[in-house]
Amino acid sequence: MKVVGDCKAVVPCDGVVRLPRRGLTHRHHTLHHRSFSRSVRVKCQVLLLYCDLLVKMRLLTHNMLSSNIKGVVNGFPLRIEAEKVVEKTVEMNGEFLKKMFEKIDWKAFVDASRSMGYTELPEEADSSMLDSDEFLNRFHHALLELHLEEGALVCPETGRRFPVNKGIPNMLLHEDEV
Amino acid sequence: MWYLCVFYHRLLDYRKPEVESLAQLFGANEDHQNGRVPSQLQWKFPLRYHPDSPFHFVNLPSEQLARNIATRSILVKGMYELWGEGTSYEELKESVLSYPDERKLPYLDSDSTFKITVDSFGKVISLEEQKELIQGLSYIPFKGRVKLKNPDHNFWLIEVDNYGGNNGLPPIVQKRVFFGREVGGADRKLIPTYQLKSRTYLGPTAMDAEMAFLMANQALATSGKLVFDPFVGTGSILVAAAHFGAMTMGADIDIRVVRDGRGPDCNVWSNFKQYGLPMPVGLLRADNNLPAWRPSLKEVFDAIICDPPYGVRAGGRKSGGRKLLKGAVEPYIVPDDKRTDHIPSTAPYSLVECVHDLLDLAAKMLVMGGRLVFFYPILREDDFAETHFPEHPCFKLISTSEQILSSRYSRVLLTMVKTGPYTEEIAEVARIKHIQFKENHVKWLEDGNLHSAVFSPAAAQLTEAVDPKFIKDPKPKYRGKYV
Repeated sequence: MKVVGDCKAVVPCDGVVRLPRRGLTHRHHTLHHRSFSRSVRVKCQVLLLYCDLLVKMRLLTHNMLSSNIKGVVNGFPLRIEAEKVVEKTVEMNGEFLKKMFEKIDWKAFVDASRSMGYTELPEEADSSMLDSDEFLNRFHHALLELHLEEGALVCPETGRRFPVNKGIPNMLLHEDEV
Repeated sequence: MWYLCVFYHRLLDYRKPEVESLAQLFGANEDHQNGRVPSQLQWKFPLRYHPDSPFHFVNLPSEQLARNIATRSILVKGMYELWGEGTSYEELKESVLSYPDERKLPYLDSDSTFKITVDSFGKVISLEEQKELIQGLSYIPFKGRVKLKNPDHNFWLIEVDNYGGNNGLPPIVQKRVFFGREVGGADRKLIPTYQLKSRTYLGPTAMDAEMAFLMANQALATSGKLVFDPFVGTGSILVAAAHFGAMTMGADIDIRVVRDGRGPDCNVWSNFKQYGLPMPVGLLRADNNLPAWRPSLKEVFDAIICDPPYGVRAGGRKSGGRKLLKGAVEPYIVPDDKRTDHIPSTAPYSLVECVHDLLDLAAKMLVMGGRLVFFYPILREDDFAETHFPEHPCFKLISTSEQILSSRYSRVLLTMVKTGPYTEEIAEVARIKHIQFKENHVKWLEDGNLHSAVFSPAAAQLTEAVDPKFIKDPKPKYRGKYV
């Protein structure tokens, strides 16, 4: 098992890559990997190679995007088809979170986090909840630490798939959709 | 209080706007007990000085603010509390002696360490002469210990002499000597660290590091702010914004640039990783002409910084492709079996339309008081006529800084502040304009073609048989790409 660069990833059986918090050494990973079956380990290697360039489409971006195909009225929210979701620790900035909270469409955000496999967010939220550290942590995690690496964003009206490869959503329209 | 602000002799047009922007940035965070930071700073020159000279005086409410500005800036060599000045060393002595003791003594006491630096502009002072000059300052009661590395107080003796007209520097009429205590200065180590030649992933129009930092300063990039670049390319502008702590987001129409780069260790992400900066919160492939933002989203970015494609070194593209060039090819319908993995063709994107879209996007997506900072190319032949910069009812243009790129054209960094809300009427006007652009696609491309104006042979000048030596460049000789 080769660990490349400062890749830090552990792959449990559900295929979701979880990147541990900072400070873990390569040795920790090696231990983890040994506990997996051979097939997972092979997959692991491929993913680890990718880890160097991780940090992908996050739910903040998802919450800002809609389908802009000609004639589409309700292009928001885009449904997430998640093939590979990655978690990565990001430093928290309370001020930024508070500012973004006001801009986020909460319902779409909760639904999106569910389709990424995160269910800890409350159905309803208002700005008074931002005083709670626990809520802030969850909000931060869902907004910035969940990354969609491979998958697609699907237009709710037409079913057109906007592919997400290597974490970059491809929102470019075809010639006849402009 | 008035501070002597000495600039690097670089990018002359960018110097004052940078200080003014930073005064806004730090002034907004400061409690106002020291007085409000005015929206327009007061400047003055030493007597009979040329505006392009590096010596300026600026009025700032507090020393802390002066220090903050100087340390964050790129072009301020130093901010000084001036203890004295004069046309000769005798005059300087008188002037320093008459400067109030209560301002001087706290910095001269025996517990502190200090250093005196002799500096000059436009001339060289030899080491022996420097030593003499420093010893000549014995009338100042220095009691502290000399320490050349990291002293508590830095004193500067700066001499400017009439060096004759023709060495490529702005003219100075009279010799002048300044003595002052340094309050702060730029961290120029930043630029060698971020310089493009050590960057892994570069594109043909990657933004020079110094310029990128200046743009980030104009945009007031700081921690907790969200900065967007709609033409992100290799991320060279966002790297500077991220260095100052801003959250960054970028879009580009070229998917190879944003997604693939040149391999796993050479792409936009690796450029951020290289400097240990936080990654952009989002990168996407999108078209500036047809942005995919949800319609209800507005006022989300604190700043938009970009270098739009001018069509000289890199041309803009937009979606629509063959369909837009009406008459040439039948409207293209993608066959159903080819829909997945179809690579849509793109059409050229004229600068006029690009700037229109950019202003419309910024008007909608910037917070009130948010800044739009972008480059706009101009042809230098038009220099005599008044240049018209793009305008928008939501924006106030607060600074224009020219960078000369060749004898034919230069680019101007425009800084705009959002002062008015994005109303439905403005949105409707923009929508109609958008359709007009689409219908007259070919015409706009020809009208705004900067490429041919910049690269075509100088036919007109040859026919008039004028010796090129006599064609007068309106800019003084010392102005060039970096000055």
